[in-house]
Amino acid sequence: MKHNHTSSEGSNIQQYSTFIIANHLYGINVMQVQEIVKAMKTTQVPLAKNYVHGLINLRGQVATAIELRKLLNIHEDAPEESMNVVCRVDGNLISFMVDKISDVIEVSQDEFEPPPNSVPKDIKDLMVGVYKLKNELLSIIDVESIINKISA
Amino acid sequence: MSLEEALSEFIEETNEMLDRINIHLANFEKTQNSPDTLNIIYRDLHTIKGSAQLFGCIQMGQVAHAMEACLDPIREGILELNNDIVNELFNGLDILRIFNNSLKKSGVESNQKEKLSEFIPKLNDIILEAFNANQNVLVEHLVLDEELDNAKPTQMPKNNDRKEDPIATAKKKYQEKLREKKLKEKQTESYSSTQNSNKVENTKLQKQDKQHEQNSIRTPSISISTNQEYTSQRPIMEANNNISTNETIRVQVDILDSLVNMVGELVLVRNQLVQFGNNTNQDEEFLKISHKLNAITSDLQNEVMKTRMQPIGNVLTKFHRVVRDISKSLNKEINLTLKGVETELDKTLIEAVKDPLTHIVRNSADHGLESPEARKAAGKDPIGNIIINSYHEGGHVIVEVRDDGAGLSRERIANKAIEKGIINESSLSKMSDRDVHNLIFTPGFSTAGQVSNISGRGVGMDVVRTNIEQIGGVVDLHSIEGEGTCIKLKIPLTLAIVPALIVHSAGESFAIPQVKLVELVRVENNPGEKSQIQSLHGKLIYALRDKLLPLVDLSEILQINKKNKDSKENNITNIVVLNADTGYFGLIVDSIEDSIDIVVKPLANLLKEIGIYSGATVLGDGSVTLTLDVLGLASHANLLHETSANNDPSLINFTQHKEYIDSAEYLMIDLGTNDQYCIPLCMVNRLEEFGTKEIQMSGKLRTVKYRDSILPLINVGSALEIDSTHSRQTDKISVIVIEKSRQLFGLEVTGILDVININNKVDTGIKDRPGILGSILDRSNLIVVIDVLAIISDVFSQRNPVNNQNHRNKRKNGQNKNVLVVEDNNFFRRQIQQILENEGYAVTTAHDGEEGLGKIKSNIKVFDVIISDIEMPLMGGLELAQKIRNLNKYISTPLIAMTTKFRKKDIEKGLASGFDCYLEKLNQSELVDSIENLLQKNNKEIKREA
Repeated sequence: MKHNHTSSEGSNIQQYSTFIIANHLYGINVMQVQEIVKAMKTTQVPLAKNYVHGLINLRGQVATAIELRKLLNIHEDAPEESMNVVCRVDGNLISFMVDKISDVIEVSQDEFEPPPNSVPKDIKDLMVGVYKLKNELLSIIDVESIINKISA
Repeated sequence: MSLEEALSEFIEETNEMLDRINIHLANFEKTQNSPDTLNIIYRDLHTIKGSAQLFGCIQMGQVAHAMEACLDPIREGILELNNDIVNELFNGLDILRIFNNSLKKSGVESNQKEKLSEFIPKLNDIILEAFNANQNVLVEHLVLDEELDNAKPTQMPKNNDRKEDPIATAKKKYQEKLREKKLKEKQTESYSSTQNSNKVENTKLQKQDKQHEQNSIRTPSISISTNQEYTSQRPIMEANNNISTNETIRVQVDILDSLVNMVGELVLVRNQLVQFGNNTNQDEEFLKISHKLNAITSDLQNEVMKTRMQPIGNVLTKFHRVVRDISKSLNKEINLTLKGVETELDKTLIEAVKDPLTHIVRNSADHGLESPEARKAAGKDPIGNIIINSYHEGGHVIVEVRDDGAGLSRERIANKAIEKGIINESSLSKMSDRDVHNLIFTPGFSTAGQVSNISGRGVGMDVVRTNIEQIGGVVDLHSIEGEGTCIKLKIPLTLAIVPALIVHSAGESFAIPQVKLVELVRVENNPGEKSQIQSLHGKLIYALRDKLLPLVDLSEILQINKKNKDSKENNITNIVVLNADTGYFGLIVDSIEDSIDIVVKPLANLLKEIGIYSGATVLGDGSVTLTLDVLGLASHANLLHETSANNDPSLINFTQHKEYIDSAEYLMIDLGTNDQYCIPLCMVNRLEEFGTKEIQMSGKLRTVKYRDSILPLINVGSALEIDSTHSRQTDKISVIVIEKSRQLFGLEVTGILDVININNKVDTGIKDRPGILGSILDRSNLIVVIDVLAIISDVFSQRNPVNNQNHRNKRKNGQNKNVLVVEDNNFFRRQIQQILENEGYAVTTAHDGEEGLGKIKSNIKVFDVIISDIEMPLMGGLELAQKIRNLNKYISTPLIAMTTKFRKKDIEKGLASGFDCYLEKLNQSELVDSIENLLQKNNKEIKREA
């Protein structure tokens, strides 16, 4: 397991910052999230890959905005207003664009399952796994492999 | 740097080093066997010794020397560091500090003879005792004491020599002992005896030891207290508390870096605030505050920048020594002049230019400046001059290294470059002196005939360029043979903040670092006039002061849509002329804004990979802007590629045949556009006019009856996919008759204009499709040269499969026949190759006689026919023919000379050398016929012989 950030309460409890893309619940390990900001003015980067939304000014720092829905192959149109989940990875600021922000959720390892095989491989590679919550599923995004994928 | 400044630097440095030694010595005591720590101590002591002697502080030097010497055996592992030695070393450090403090206060080394006469012998004693070689000590000791007492400072160096003796002898003896005994037991014995003697020593020095134990944690603050102890013994010094040197604090560079970064951020926020205030807020109070903030931020930025600034003299003054050493070892007299040493530069940049500069200065002294004899012979002052001048210019610091030496030799560089395969003969002829000179920056290039220990290892100049470019600088070289060389480094003031030009294209803004900026050109096109920007099939070119400047549209490279497509027809084109490695190019942008200081932020890897952006920055309005990487842009637009493709251009180089042709004649034709096109006249068979009624269709092919046969017509305009903007409504068409492969073709053009003489070379670097040979510049007019043969073969094979069949039939002539074409002129070589390949021959080419002979001898192929030019570099055609005839295999192989030389004498000479026949260059039918004839003749002969 890559994401073994242990919380104070126990080794099998994980905290995830969750958000919604196209009515699905996704989560990123809370330790990897630097901050959450509202949509802001983006500078487009010509010739960049289609999932690169652009650059945003995060209090003087430049962050690269990534459209998660394009990476995850979600064709449904994005809402007009989106949110940014900013992660700092290897000194780079990456901002994932999501539809809506949800709560920080604590889940226990018992509910965890690796992504089912029916998920296409290129998308499966970007996920750590799935937590079965009461009403819905929480898909955990693997930030590092996303970075690896888009940097490759 | 004045002496006082140097002295003050020395004092500061010494202080720093003493602190460092203190810490390391303390560490070393704890960790013991750490050679690294020991080396640091040793090095620092060595530096102190050297600098002290340089500044005339003889006593200080002595102390440092004694300490250094006592570390020697320890470094070599002969001796182990013991308490006594460490104690004594600490003692020495304290003495050094006394000296240093006295220097700081009064600028003069205080007299500490008693201390010295006490310390140095004691140190020696301890070492020698450790060596267990007491006999020697006594003798040497006495000598030393005596000398110390009588010694005047000037005699000290001699003293130093003596002083080294006891330890050296002891070492020798000890090593001998080891060698003799070579028994571990004995070794331990000697060690234990060492320890015994230590014990004795310990009791002797008990009192002192205690004092040192108190100071055993030797942080700087504690060592200060030690100082006080000593200074209290010298009330005179204590009284003199006036500090004659500048007060400085040494700060971690990291802290400065983050300070600079934060100020950078602050500047950005300031910019945003000021803009906000100016745009939206009418509140006067707010404006006042924002202006105040503006001013303070600017001051703060300047001051913070200053903290990292150092005078470049810190580096430059070191070159006195470098030059002095070189001049001694090479027996040259060299006068080094430094100008502008006070010019300030960011500390990291100073570090970064140090090595490149050393390289350049060494090069100048070694290769640049001639020997005094040679200088006299050339009528120069036998004393060579190297001038290093640094100054500010346009937001950059320029460092010039100028020598009045021999300068760079175009020939030598060119030969070397050709030898190393960096360029070839034909591209050389196109290169300006400056281009050739800049070849020395190519990796793996070294002009020095001999490798000396000073320079000439072949890694010099390219490293210089890489290093300078790494810090965003530019290297420029200017040299006049016989007069000298000047190498100019253009270095940004600081790495953190870069002046950049903001441009707009298709509604987006981009920043271009100012270093790469050459000039801004605004071209106004009046609708009636001919455009100054000429297009070469979609590739735009602008004649900037008689030089062709390839243009690229930023929006096209970035594939962003222009909002108003007609901006080009808007009469105004903004061109940003940029300097890529291999040459200038023009970037077309919609508008050009101000030049501003930007803080370049690194990009995420996935954006770096695009290769066009070097970073991003936050502008005054808070928006993020991408910084363009000029080299990346150029390579993206294939500009670099094209220039490198120039290495094998098929330019028309008639200079070789000056006897006959100085310039080439071109037929100017009209293709119904504003662009100018031409065809080399030598390709043209006839010019004809036909009535439109005469045109008959043969399938899809337009033909006319011409001289008892049918002439296929090719419309040049449509073959090149040029949309004609005007046409001449006449019932006649203009046709250029071209002969290709013994067949006539008619090229239909809108009009035939003129025959002109152009004394210029065809630039084949700038073209985008087959059918175009390149472009040529005639008095700042750009003319496109059409490759007629390519058009015919291109269009014809597509349009007329029947004819293609003919070709194939014909090809049987040349089937399985290998032809070697030796021709140095790219244009002709390619043409001949094409002609022969159309005939079905397998063509091998060589650029000169030597290469040709090599290919023949390599036996990879056996050539059936060899075609050669007469005048070629390295090995001419005549020599080649003779050598070929000497090879058994090739005694009867047809040898054809292709030349423009047709004097009887030449032909006779050629035939005597072994050529079978002489042909005119590019007379295709004759060439093909002769080859066939010769081959048949040869075949018959072989058959007959058989």
